[in-house]
Amino acid sequence: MRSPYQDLPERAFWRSCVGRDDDAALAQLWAPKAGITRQTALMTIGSCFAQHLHRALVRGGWHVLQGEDMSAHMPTNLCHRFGYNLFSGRYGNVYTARQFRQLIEQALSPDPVPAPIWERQGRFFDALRPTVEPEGLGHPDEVAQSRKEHLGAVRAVLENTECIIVTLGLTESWIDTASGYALPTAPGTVAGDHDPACETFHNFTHGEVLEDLKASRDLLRAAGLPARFILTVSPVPLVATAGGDHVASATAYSKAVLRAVCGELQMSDPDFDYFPAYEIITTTIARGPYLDQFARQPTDDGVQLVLRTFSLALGAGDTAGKGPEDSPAIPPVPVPAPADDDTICEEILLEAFRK
Amino acid sequence: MTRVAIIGNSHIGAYMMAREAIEVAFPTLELSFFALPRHSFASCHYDESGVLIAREPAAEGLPDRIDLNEQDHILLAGQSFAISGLSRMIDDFDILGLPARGRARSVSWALLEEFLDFRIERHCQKLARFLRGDPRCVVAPTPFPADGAADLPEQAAGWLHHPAAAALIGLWSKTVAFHMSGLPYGYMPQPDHLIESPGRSAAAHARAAALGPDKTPSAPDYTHMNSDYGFAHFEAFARQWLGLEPECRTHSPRKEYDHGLGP
Repeated sequence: MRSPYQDLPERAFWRSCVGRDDDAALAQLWAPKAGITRQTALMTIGSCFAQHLHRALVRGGWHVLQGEDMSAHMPTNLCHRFGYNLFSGRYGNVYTARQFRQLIEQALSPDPVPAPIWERQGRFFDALRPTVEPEGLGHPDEVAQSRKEHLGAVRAVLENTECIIVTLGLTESWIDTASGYALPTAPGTVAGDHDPACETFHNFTHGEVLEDLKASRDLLRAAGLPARFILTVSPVPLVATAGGDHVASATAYSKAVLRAVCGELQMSDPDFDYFPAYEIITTTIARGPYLDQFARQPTDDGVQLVLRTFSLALGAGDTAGKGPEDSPAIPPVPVPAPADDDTICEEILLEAFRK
Repeated sequence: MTRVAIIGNSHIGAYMMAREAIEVAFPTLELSFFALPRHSFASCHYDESGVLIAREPAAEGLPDRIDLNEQDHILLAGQSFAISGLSRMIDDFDILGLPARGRARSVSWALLEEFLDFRIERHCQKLARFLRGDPRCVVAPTPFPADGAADLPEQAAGWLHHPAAAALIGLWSKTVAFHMSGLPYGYMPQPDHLIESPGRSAAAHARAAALGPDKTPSAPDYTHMNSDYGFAHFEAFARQWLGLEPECRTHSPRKEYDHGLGP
């Protein structure tokens, strides 16, 4: 008697895989469609879990593009406070596939539809990334100028990236009626005021998310840009839902839709792959779940395990070190030394002492 | 006699060149000088007995230690207070809300404020540790570069040619004063009469103005001041912090230094 399961590899069977975090087991968690080395130019974007991925990839020596790098000027915490160096661009959290699509549209368009601008106590905020200037800007023109520069930087990243790691976080969104843009957060949260006539709640469906991701790819191809995609789903649950359901059910819906879209694209489209960060963090597959005491944020151990899996599956060794087959990490851009004329001026001082 | 130590970096050269004039104008004062190697706080060890000792060999001709125990007052001169960070920021970026200068990227004024706050606070923390909060100490910032510093690298004083220099230097000055107010040291910003325009000293006070006709000034000759400046700055220090008026001053300290003319 023959069974279709009898010749399947170990990774196909729950009992042989579950609860293991050894290298061999982790390496089997993901079978990449295409190779990635530490020299492959990566772009990170997505919800807050993408920040964890970005940081872990950078620390692990992967070549993560940085379109609006500020690390040579400011300490990390200040960079992050102003939205720099959290992802490959200063776009803030991109929670939905629609946000991702519209960012690509704007970056590649010579004349994008202007983004809405929110106001709070005389300060002005880019509604599509309202947290990157925590105190807002002094005038709407400054917001527009900042956004224009931002989109130029995003375009440069898109032109240079070989692989975009997209972390999908939500299906729930608020849509600005005038511009049609999906907002990262509801007006009245960071700035602005909620006006039901100006923005509407929308919970994206499987079909819409699928369409947005395919359209994102099509936009890049139309511009002659070859980047492929690795999709992940954020394990971080919704903070709150505006859909009327219980937040737990709303979270389950969002994650299920996003995970299903990722699966469908992985199975059917060669440009898209799926990396199971969601499963590693939220299930017992790798001795998890790896969530904090409030069951919201992934733990550091969990994030490290995600990157370890990423590296092992790509044959790139562990995250801390590099496997023997690795190519060296792209060296960071050298930080220019601060202007300092003291070295020259020791001569001046000597002259004064000699007198 | 009242003993005053002037310590710092290469900028103490201006006071050294004015030494004779200062000692004539303030005959009750006795001056001592000490330059930190590379102007690094880490290059010196301030021992328990109050002696500041260079950890590395001082350049030939420079003292390698000073006993601050013997001093009544300490003028710590030439503190940068991270002004090079301001310079780099405005060299690399336009500032939103200020006139654009064609940079590819802009940063917000709020970011610049927080950046300077961070850098200057850190500098002040190092200062506090360096002399262990000694209340005899008065800290003076590096003098602003002089007018005419055309060949000064943009990164060294990026505000000089910025149309909003007043606002930029105003922010830096305000931030320095705020953080220094939290330390037990005195703080002596560059006196108004020694400032030609925001962030700029008078050309006549630069070393460049004191060079002979056969010498071509270079960038450091515009960032370092001459003996006239050294005297004028010390005079302001003596008035404000020592309560002393100069007894006489008949000649330019620079001429005295250059030509050996006594007052």
